Amino acid sequence: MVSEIPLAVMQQWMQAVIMAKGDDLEAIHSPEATKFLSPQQVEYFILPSRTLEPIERLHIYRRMYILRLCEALASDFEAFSDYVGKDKFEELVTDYVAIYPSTSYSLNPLSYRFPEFLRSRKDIEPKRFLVELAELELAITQVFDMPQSPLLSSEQVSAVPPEAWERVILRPIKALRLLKFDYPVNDYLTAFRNESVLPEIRRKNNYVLVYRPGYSMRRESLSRQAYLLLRHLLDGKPIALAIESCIGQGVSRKLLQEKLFYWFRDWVASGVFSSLECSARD
Amino acid sequence: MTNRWNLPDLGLGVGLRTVHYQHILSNYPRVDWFEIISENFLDTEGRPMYVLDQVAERYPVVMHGVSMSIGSTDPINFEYLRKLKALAKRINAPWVSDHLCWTGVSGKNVHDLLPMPYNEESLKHTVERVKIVSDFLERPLVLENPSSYIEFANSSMTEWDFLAALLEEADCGMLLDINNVYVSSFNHSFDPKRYIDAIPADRVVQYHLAGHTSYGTHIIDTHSDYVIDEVWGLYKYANEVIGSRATLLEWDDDIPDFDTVHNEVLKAQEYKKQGVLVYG
Repeated sequence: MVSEIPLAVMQQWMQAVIMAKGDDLEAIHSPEATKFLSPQQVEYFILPSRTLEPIERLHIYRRMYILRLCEALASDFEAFSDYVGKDKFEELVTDYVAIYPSTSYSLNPLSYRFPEFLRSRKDIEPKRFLVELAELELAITQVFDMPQSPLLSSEQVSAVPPEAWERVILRPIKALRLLKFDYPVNDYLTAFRNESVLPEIRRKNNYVLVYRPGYSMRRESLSRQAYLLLRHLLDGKPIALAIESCIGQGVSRKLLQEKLFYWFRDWVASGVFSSLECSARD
Repeated sequence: MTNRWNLPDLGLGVGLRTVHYQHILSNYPRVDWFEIISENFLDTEGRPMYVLDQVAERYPVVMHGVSMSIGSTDPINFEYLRKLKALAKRINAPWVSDHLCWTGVSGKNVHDLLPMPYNEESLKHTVERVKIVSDFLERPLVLENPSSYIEFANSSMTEWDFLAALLEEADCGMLLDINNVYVSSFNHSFDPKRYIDAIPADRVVQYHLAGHTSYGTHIIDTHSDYVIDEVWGLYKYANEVIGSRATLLEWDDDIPDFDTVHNEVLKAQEYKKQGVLVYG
């Protein structure tokens, strides 16, 4: 008796139908749906309207589900979705949410595993570039929502005695991601957003700092040397140790001597760091 | 007649949307009030919160959610409610609204306003949850009638009778979405005026207006266009039968410039019967 179908069963069934892949008939025949309601019961349980059959009425919800999630993910992965095209993107999203359905009251976390999902795909080309493009776009999305941090002030910097600098540990703001890519995804994203000529997609190491010191997003390309130094600093190494680590990775001491002051000045001025502390002497 | 909580008729408001942030912060337009989508501000510390704080300093802001899932058979999500409550306190929201619907079960979220069967089991279930949520939020909970596209054979009452009973038994307020009444009346072939007649006037705190998309065989509540004349007619009727209430225009897809959205809601001045709070 359809009149006796409990609310919990109805909800489990309807959700299963909405989330099922395939066409509408496949959805109501899917194992996830038939656990709760047989396909024969559906036409009695859902009433027809004067213009639509029960299955056509269900289709409205099934279609809106995918369209809504496509729209949400396309806003996070704008350049990626543009590159693969609308139909391919919908195919990817359909497969993605079948594996990683939303489990939050918010749509924000839905995007978090999309690059990871893309890594498992064999049908996107150029795959490595597209995965990295998605990783960059995800980083921007995440930094956008991260908590605010106080910014390191010039007074705090001035208060450090010269002899203590080598032992200083710099703490970054929370809303920051430092990224390394094998393809020019940062240049690609910039060109995409500026509607200018897109760069050629071929291997090219690039290093990107995404951060939000106040309420404005910033995205900067770094040299390899600046990236390495900042990477060590963000890992919590005192300045002297960070420098030594860079040298150990092939960065010339001379270049560091030339650039260090300018990098540090720019990073402090642009709000990359939140605080500093002196590590204990050895 | 006013609502039983004496919640104010805030006048004619507009949904606070990202595309209008710059215009609003630059011009602080003469809008009576704003409504936010609550979930857009729950887990962010970036520019959206900055904008919201600026707006809340200058205008009344009402919170309208899409994920309370009040009709779901999943346990109530108190982590979500805690964040909702904190946000309401931060912006001094006079009331918190969401929809008579469910959005998911088994820990999943479909992110849609899914319909309930209207029967005694659903009513009892929803009444209990509304009472718990209202107590927790410590401010009026206001539920909106959703647009719907299917009807269940195990419904034993109409949506309006269900809502009228729910509002009384759970002691909660109603956000009467005039466009949704119209959309559902087309999709389910009922008289929209009969719906409005059945809603207890003293429970209605707010009205929503919006545009929709007609596909001939059915209408979808897309919030993507101007309000059609038939919906304006129903709004006029609701003002006559229920009274003047805070009124908000929703425009969420193909959003035009701020003035276009604002001018659309200002058309409601013609139909509002009582005084309107004017910003400034």
